[in-house]
Amino acid sequence: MTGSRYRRLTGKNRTWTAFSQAWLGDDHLLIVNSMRLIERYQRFAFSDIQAIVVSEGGRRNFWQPLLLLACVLGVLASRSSFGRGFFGFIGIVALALVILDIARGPRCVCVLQTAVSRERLWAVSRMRTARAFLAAITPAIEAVQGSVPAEELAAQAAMMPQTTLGASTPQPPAIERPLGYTPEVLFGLLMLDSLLVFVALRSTIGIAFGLLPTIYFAEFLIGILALVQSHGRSTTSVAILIAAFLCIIIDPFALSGNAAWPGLVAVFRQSSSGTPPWNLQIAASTTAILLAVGWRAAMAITGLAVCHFERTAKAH
Amino acid sequence: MLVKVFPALIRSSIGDVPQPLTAEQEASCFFHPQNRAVTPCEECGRFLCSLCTLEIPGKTLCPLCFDANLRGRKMQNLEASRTLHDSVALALAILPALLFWPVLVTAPLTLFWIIRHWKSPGSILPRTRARFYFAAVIALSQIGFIVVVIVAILRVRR
Repeated sequence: MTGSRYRRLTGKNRTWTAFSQAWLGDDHLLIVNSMRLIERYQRFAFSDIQAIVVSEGGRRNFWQPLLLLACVLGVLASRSSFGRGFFGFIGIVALALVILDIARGPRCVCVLQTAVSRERLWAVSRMRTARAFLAAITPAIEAVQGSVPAEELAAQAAMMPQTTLGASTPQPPAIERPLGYTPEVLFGLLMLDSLLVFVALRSTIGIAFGLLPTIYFAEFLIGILALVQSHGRSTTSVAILIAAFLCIIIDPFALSGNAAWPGLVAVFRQSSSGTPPWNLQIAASTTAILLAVGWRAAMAITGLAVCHFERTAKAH
Repeated sequence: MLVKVFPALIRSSIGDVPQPLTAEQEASCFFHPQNRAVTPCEECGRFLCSLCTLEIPGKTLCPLCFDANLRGRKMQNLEASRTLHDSVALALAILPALLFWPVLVTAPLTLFWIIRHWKSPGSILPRTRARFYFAAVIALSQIGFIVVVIVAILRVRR
């Protein structure tokens, strides 16, 4: 285990893809927002924290009762024993989640205020957690800032003149972020895939159905990643990315997919009557092959060129 | 509702306002020529006004040196994000296995990733290397399985 100077303040407040957690440092509060593969950190120095406000209420989980209701309806409507068992099991899980949610106590919204920001602390989402959080962090902040009664602070704060930054205040120098390479990876992959799709559509059904789903999955995954990371890119490269992603979505259903699906149907028909014809040649038309290969190659070349020019322009 | 107020609330809420130049002989800020310089950057030596001065523990830096230091991982206490290479290795070992074919590439890639990032800085929070070990075991199992399949195919063909 790596040495750490942090002490855990709250548990993990999870969403489907991420979680948030609060940790106590030597002289600051650390908020960790984890997206599983990347952790982002926010640090609040104890000397900068002006107030912490916790109010009851906040986001509620509607999907748990909805799922429970759907399962009850499913059990009532289902005629087979398998259906009843399936909906019953899911319903019991949903019921357990609802009970667990109630047992964890009322939800809350916790806001941390500094002189220049007001930050929602997602890690503190239950009143019980909020009380423990305040009990742990208050002595640490008071050790740095000292302790003054709340009434006295409120009276002094009311007498303070309201100062705001003027519109003409000069801004610090802008720092430019480097462009990522995800679009280049996507367009490179499309170039490689144009070759693989050609091979898949010119070979047997067995090879095609091993190769094509992998190609679709990889393109879809990297396409989403490239779109998510497209912030700060030129309009042209974003337009090319969107066009490529649309083609990626359409392709399995209309272009290469359309050429390969009849073969799959034949396999399933054959398998019900005897040995499946995995060694059968795919009967894809030349037009379908040219379209499936062509859009990938065209997008790849255009995209790589646009990325190259964008990078060159940025460097100058 | 729970409200906790601290003495920082009654402090001045805005930092120093940069002072304009009053005489031509005065040194001006590198980034704002109309502002009076108050301190030099301790790394690049540029003169800075109070707006551009970043005081970090033990140093006074300009925004560009601050950013360069952050990127160069010279100020680990101020890093805003970190990649969890052990989680990446584990995801690389498990997720592609759902489609089987990518394992041919990703299993060796996982091992490379583990070796490459074994000593890279991970999370700043307490964390074990268990994910690296799991990923290595899974990747080695996948490679072993691939070798067995290849050997079996070669034997059948003979």
